Amino acid sequence: MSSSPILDIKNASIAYGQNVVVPELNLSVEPGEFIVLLGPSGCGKSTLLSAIAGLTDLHDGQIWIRDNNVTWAEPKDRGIGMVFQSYALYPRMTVEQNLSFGLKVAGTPKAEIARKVADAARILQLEPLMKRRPSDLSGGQRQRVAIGRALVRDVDIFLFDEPLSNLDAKLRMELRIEIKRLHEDLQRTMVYVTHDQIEAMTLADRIVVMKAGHIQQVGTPSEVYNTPANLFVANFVGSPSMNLLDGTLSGEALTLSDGSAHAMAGYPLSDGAGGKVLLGLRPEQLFVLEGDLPAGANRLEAKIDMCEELGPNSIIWCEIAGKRCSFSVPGAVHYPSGSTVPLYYYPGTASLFSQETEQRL
Amino acid sequence: MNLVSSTALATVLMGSVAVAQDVEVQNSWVSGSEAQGKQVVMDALAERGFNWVDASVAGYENDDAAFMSRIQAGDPPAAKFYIAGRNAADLIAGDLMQPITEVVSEEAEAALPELIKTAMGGFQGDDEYYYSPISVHGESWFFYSIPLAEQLGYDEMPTTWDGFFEMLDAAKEAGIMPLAFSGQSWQTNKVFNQIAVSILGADTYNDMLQNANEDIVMSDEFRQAIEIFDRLHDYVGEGISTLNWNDATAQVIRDEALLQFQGDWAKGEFIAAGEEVGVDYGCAITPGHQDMMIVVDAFTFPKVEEGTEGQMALAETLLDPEVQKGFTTLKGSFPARTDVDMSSYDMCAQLANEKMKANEIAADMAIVSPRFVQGALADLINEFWAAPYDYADFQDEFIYALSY
Amino acid sequence: MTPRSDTRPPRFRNWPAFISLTPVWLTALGLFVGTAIYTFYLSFTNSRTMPSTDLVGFEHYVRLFDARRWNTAMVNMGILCVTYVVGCLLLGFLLAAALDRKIRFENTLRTLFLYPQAVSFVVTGLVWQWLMNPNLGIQNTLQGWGWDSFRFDWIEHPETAIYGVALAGLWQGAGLAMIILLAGLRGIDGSLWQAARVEGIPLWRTYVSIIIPEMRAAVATAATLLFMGIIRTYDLVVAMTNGGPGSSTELPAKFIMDNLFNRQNIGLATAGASVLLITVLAVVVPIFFVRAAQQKKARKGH
Repeated sequence: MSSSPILDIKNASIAYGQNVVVPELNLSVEPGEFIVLLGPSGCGKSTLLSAIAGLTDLHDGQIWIRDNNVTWAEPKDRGIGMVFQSYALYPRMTVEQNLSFGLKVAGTPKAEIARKVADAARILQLEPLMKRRPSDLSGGQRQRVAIGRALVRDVDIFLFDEPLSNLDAKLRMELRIEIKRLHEDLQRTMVYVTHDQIEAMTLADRIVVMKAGHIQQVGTPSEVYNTPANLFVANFVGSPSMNLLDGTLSGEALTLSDGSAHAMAGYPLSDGAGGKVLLGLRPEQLFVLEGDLPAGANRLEAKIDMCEELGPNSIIWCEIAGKRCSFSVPGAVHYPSGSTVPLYYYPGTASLFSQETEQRL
Repeated sequence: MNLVSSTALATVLMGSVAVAQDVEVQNSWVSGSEAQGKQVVMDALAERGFNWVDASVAGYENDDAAFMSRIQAGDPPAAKFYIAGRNAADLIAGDLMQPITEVVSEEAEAALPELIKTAMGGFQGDDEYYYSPISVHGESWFFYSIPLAEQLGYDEMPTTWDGFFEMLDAAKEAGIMPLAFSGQSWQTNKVFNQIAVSILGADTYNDMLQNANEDIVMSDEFRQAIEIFDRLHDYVGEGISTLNWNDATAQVIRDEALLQFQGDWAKGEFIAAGEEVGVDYGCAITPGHQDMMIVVDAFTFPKVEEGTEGQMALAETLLDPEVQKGFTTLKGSFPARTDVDMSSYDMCAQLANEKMKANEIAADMAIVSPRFVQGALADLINEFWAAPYDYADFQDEFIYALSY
Repeated sequence: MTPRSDTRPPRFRNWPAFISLTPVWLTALGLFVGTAIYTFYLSFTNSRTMPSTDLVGFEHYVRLFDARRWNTAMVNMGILCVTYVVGCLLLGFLLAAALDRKIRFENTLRTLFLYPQAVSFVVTGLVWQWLMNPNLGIQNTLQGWGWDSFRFDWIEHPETAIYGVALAGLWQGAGLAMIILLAGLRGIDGSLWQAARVEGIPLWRTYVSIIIPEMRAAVATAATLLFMGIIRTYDLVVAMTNGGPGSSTELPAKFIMDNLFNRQNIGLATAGASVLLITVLAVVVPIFFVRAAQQKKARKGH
């Protein structure tokens, strides 16, 4: 990886009138990276993307692309291409015209247009579709044309604005895989906006989790999943979401609200951490205790509520220390409602959040 | 048939003893003076034991459309206001109209000019009368501002066209607008025909229209009328194409323009403005032959299943000299009968009455020509006024339209 | 796109709907086609005041085409089709495009532009008659301010009067075109603008190559409404110029109405109506077939 980032957002803030949508934000993207901006609707992720594209002006701060300050540059001069949720293909033009129109308007020589369009069509397997209109294309084909429109322009960064959110689940999965494959083939930088955590987890090299204009966490999918930086990330990522149990931490000793004592040995606690905390455990970080408690593990009692069989695994809904929780077990498993099942977990894999700051300890 | 009608008659007669029989009258008399005049007729009809049921629609043509739809629906009113002559000709020919000959007394016949009697017959040539005329409008007038005329040194109006144009030129030189003029179609038409009557004389003009006489249309005299009409362009003001006739009259009333060619209904405007004839404004007959073009207000009577007595009573009422006097005094026209005492009328009406007695009268196109011919001629004259073209072409087109 | 099933629905599956709609169809057929045929028939009779059955051949048509007024009326209709329809579409589009740019006071401006549409043609005609009256209107005002050479008296001159009528019509009709075209613009996927902007396509080019082609339905709707407006325009001309000066602002509908109601000339009026219908059909039918052919082709291409 090159030392200088291909996209560098410095102290960017975006406002609509008095309404600040994104306060000071910093983000660097390395060349070839697949970055996913993840967050609930209204978190500013689309606005940020729009600002990167140059469709929304910054209130303050700077955007650098490939060592150029493009803060006030026109979208076409930024070296970005964009794939919209609706794909925004030019409806009255054929696929070929859709691909070539931008180049034609820019005054690119004809031979060069033809070569670039042909290259893009080959890469994206659009060759048999060149004479079709967008209305005669399938969703996947439309997506490829939209990507092709950016591809012919040799852009540095591909921006995706929730391209899959209008599609049904099956098609969404197919196109997700196609985007992933294209990224691997093209090795271009991609910035992808979504509110769907599965898309984020599957596509991203790094996920940027956003809330109310603020970046909550930047990290690989596994970092974001396994070590959420705060309660928001812990809640937002993962389905079913992370189990959170009230407790009081003193040194390495954690006392849950039901009075049970847990030793948090193995958890990387910073010095002086303590007080009211939340113990965070992903459903698959909880195991059913059969026999003796393994070394280094802590024990919990789960009062079974109901069981959901998903095929490869089952989600068991239960109550732990007075909190509604869930845990995952492989295969089809059924426990009688009301029964008590002993569970255990390893403190090293768990998360601890301060109840006061909601940050990870 | 006889039995039925006599039974019906008996029923009606018995009914008329008890309550006044209704006579429904379709008319377009809605303005103040018209409504006042109408009341005179209503009262006179009531004295005869019949009740005028008013069905009025503003605007002659709208009223006609309403009437036609009732004719077509087979539910005609008992009487319909029309300009006497061709207006109901198709209806008469279609045997839809009731002759009123029986109520036209010998005395009345003697007092009516030949031209009006012809119009009353609807040009059917069957010795029947179908219209009962009540009043006549004179249309060969021009009304002038006496202060302006005196300023120009004219105590009397010129009686020749040369003298007339000299006066207009004098006005122009003195910075006075010579002609108050409305460019609306019916106005340009009235003026053209007024000039044609003055040049051709009443008899020749009547001959031309009634017989579509090509020789007259192609004559030098007719050409001269066109020339004079065209020449008026030099004396009119700006912005006249949409000017209403009464707004043009107001220019004379305000002494902004010297004169206006207009029918005698213009008197109403002068009177309403508090002007006095012979003091503030004067009326004069168009130069040349000084014959009078007239239009006759009359009623026709659709054939109805019952109520013919009421129709006859109304027809007779309209011809009553006293009724004609009462009505025309209020409406500003003059009686169709020439035997009415004219002493209470103004000088313009008295002069018109003289012309009637002398048979120096010409019939307006509205009397003589079928409406579609009238319309074709009106288009022609109006188009010529808007954009004059070769006189010979105009003569050709005129006879083509006239022989429609 | 989901593949279409090849199995056809049974032919008369919706026969109850078919039967219940039959009276409506028959009525419509009787009303529209029947009256059109009767009109056509009357134009060959000597009907004057009343409908008649005496056939007179093409007499009325000869008179019709000899009439300066009718010919002027037909030419005027053509002039209005170009100036009024095209003018309304252009102005309406410009207004709509301006409003669509998310400008301030959009609601106020939209109401303002649409306001003339709420005024009757009679009022529009009278107001513009005053505005173009050399003694009362704009000309008089501006000359009063010292601009002596200023002329705005179009309706006083036969050569320019019809353009005065077109201008008044434009004032009234542009709002309608605007509202339809604005709806058309709003119906267009907003990200198309962004996509074009990302590609560096200039705004005018975006309109010409991408947006306007997408608005064909809206343009067709607006154009059809405006065109139909011209065919039946009567009140505007009656109020504004009454066809004058001369016959310079006559329109076919007015000619027909005048002959039907005022001139007791049903034969000539129906001849005019027939020529008008044939003229409209001569324009509309080819368009219809071309569009139908295009749609068929588009379906086959799928």
